[in-house]
Amino acid sequence: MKTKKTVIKAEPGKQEVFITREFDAPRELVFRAHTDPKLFVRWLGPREYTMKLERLDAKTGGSYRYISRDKDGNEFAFRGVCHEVVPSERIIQTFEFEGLPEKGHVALETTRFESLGGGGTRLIVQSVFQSVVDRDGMIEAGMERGVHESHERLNELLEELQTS
Amino acid sequence: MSQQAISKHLAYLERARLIKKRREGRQHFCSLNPGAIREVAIWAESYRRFWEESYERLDALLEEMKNQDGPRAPRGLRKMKERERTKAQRRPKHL
Repeated sequence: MKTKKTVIKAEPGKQEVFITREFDAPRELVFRAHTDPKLFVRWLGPREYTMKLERLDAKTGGSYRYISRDKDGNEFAFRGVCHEVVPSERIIQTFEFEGLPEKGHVALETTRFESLGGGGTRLIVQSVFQSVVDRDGMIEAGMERGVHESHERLNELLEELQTS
Repeated sequence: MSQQAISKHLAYLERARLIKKRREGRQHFCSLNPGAIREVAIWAESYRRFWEESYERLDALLEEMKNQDGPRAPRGLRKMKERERTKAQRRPKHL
C-alpha cells in the first residue's frame, strides 16, 4: 500500500479549509466508517485521545455530539446537525467546538466521497467558517493543544502549501 | 502585472497579517510579518497531524472491513470480491 498523504489547504485571508485524503477502499466503506457510530469511534482523533460519542445520527435532519479527551483529562466537545446525508456520496453538516468562549461560531462542513479507479476513494472535506477571524481562531486553539515544531515538518508543510 | 493588481494583492496579504504596511508621504513600505506565517504553519501542521493520525487509523479499520467476509483471499480474488461487495453495498445496511 502506498503512503497516503493528508493535504490541508488553508489560504491566507480566506474563511475556509480543505482537507483531502485518498483511501484504498471503496467509498461505500469510507462512508460507513463516517456514519456508523461503532466504526466512527475507532478512528476519529489521535490515538492518545479517548473518544466518547454521545450520539451520531448520520441522516438528513440528524445530529451528533462527541467528546474527545486527552491524556491529561482535558475534554473537547464538538457537535452539529446533519443538513443532508446522501449515502456513499456526501455529508453536509454543521460543526461547533463547544470549548470556545462564545457560542454561535459554527462552521459548515461538506464531506465528499469520490470513487477512484481500482476501488479507491478520495475524501474531500470543506469547512467554511463564518469569518476569517473564526477560522484563524482555530489557529490559536490548535496552538494551545501543544505543538512540537520541527524544521522538517515545516518544510514538508510549506511544500504542500506551495503545491496545493 | 499592473499597479492596481499589485495593490490588490498587497491588500489581501495585509488583511491576512502576512505583511505590514508603513507610509512615508506618498510612498508605501511593505515588510514581511514572519510571525503570522509561522502561526499559520504551526497550526496547519497540528491540524494536519490530527487528521493524518485519524486517517491512518481509518486505513487500518477499512482494511479490517474489507477482509471481514472470511479469510484473506489472493489479491486478485479480493479485488473481485470487493467489486461484488461494492455493488451490494449501494445501500448500506444500517441506513
